[in-house]
Amino acid sequence: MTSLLRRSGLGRLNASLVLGGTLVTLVALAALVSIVWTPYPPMRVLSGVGNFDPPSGSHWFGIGFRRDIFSQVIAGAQTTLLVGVVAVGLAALVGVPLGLVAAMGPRWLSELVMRTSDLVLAFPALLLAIMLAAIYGQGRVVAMVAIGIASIPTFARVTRSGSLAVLASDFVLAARAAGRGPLGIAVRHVLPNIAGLLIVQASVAFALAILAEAALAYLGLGTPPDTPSWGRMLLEATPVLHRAPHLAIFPGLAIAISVLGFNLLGDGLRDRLDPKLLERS
Amino acid sequence: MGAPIIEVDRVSRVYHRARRSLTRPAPVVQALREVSLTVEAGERLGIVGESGSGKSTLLRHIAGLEQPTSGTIRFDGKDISGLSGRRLGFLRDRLQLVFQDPMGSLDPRMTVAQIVAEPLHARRVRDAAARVEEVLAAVGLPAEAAGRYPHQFSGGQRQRISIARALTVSPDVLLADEPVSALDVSVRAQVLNLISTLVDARDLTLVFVSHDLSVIRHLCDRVVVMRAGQIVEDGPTEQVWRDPQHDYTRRLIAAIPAMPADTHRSEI
Amino acid sequence: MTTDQPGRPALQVRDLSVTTRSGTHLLSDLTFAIADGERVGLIGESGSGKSLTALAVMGLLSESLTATGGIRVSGHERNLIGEREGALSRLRGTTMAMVFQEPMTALNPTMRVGQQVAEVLTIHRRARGAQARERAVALLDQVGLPEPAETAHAFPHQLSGGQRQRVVIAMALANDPALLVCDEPTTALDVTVQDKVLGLIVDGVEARDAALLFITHDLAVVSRVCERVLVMYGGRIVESGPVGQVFAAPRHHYTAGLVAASALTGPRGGLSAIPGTVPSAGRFPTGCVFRTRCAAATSECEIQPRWDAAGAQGWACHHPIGAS
Repeated sequence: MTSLLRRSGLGRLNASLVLGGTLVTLVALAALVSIVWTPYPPMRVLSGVGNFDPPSGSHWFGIGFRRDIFSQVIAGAQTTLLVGVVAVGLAALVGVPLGLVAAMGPRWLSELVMRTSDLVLAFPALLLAIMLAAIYGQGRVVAMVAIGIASIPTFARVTRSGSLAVLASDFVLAARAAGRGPLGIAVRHVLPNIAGLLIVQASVAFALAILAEAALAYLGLGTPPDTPSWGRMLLEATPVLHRAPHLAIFPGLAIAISVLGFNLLGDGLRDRLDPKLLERS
Repeated sequence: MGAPIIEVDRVSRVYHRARRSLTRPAPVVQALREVSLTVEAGERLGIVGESGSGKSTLLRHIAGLEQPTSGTIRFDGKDISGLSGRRLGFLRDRLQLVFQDPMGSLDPRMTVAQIVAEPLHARRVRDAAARVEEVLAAVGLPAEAAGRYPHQFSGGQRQRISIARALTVSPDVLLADEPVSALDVSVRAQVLNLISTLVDARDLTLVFVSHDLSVIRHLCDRVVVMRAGQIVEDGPTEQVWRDPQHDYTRRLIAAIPAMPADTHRSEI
Repeated sequence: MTTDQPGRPALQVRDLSVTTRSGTHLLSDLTFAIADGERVGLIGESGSGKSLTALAVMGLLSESLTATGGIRVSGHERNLIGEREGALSRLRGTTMAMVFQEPMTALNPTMRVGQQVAEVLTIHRRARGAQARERAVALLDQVGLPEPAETAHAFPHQLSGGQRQRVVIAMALANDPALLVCDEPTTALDVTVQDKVLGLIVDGVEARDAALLFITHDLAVVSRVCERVLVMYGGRIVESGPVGQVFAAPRHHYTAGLVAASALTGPRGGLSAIPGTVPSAGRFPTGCVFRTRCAAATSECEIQPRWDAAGAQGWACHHPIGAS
């Protein structure tokens, strides 16, 4: 992604790229800062505070179950980003090559890949996570792998349909005439031309992974209780929702901001990476 | 003129369309029917025909981009009709193509330098910069074109890029598939002049596909007329133009609108 | 500027200019007229403003463009520039009709072609019901479609490109327009099909004594179809006159360049090409629009040349060919 950014030259920026980039940077900064510093240890039960104190000068987001919510939210960003990166990375690493194979390989292989992906798609991600959790026990790795596996078919599909369009173009024929083999065509022509598509897909998948992680944690399947997680915070906030709404508002906002951030970033990058939209020189 | 460099021997090609019904068999399209054709080294051959005549299909078969259903194609004596992409390396060194759509045949995400150097990179030649500069100059593009993207050029300039790419490996044979049909008359003249000059200067064999017999007449010594997957007439361009033997060729020539200055054709 | 026609011409364009919001001139001071039954060609390279002229005449310019000047068609009193959309849409398809380059996109893929022709009649209340369907079949017959009654039941994708363009022409001629505008109607067609479609257009306008504005980049097609030709470059008409006269003895250097570049008459030999490329909109030079590509250009050409005429032929050039 960085090489693509460099190649296109970050000259002019668009609004969604700037806003999305800012939001994502904010989440990433929170995650980084929380590694070395949080106002209070996020999971420690504090003394001298009430059970559900509202936001105040010393506890910016208030208190929930005698723990500092601000510290939990910024530490929760770590979980969110980790799950997102691993799940999307897994899905892209497996899904993109599968999609390319389905587009460029012989028909039987293409059928095999696409029908298998139909099968996986028909399987709810949550059910998969529950099954994996039943076999391997609950935990963050299981959640990440489950979300990743569930996202593979979409990546394979997007890659395949994008590749088919590129493969039908005259410049691929020209590349074959120039002597490029299938691998060269995939790397030099197909991937750069579907990169925009994949980046948008990755940002959407990232947003979905954040939501899925929150959902799994909410169900008590993902992140273990001793790790800060936005989904788990929502789960814990449910019984006291009308008494102490700030318990749900801040992790909820954090989820919304990061999902929005990644979606906007994807949109902005897609426009930015299209050379046709670069300024004519 | 010299030894035959391309020999097409009774080549047929059948395409199966997608099934439209469960009960009826998939429709079959006979794109080429028993086509035989010999091109000699140094010759300028035109292939003329209307859409669906099989002229572009024939060109792709000669380029080894498609495999015939039956028949053989030899390039410089070697049978290429059964060879897979990997074993066609020798052909790619000696035969290159220029396509019709000057935008569609250039990867929009590659710079001109990357596009023009592609045939070299495919052969793992590392340093292509000098060669790129040389061929860009040969097709009349400035050196600074190398760093730009295809969409920054006009249609005629894009076709120059496409021709430059075909020249990087110094081929013996240049195949052109309607390279000027998407261009304006004045730009068409520029590109036709360029092709003609390059063919002369580099001793190329030219196979030029077009729907326009007057373009072929301008550029080629010999013409074959194709219709419905078959060659219906084959002969020296001037002779075919002045005295067409096949009824279809006659209709084709009669249908070409004439310029007022173009008087001699009214005699026919 | 151009020769005046006796009586009220079918189309009269006076000082037509089209500008973008940012003030770029796309068309400048176009003045021409087409008489009833007259066939006029409009030629030039892509980017000269040919298609934009056609759209302006049809009142189909995009809203981001501003047109000034006058466009009048016979049978309508007011200037079409500034006319309400409702009045324009009543004129389109009746008084003036247009045939586009790509016959596939001009037809609705989900409607049978007979219905589409009939619809043109019913929209303008020229016929209805069974009568409209009958007229539609008769029109399809007129444009030379085989078995018109059966063809009327076909969908556009079941027809060949040439047949589709015949259907489009049938639709354009359905209400006997006074003006037919054709924008490169045969560029997408094969040579033999093109020949038949061109014959059809000529016969169609002749039978109706309609005016024809025919846009193409192909000079030979203009000679086949038209009596008079307008040569456009940089959004201006640079030369006009009878086709034979203009092509045989062009006075403007741009016309001469086009004629020479089209002359694929002999075997081999270099073609004379116009050097350089058409600038993009807004990048044309001041004064004579062609001077950046013209071999005869001098400092005098930095001033807009005035329109000269000799007989039916007119041109805008400081150094016309043939003047000593």
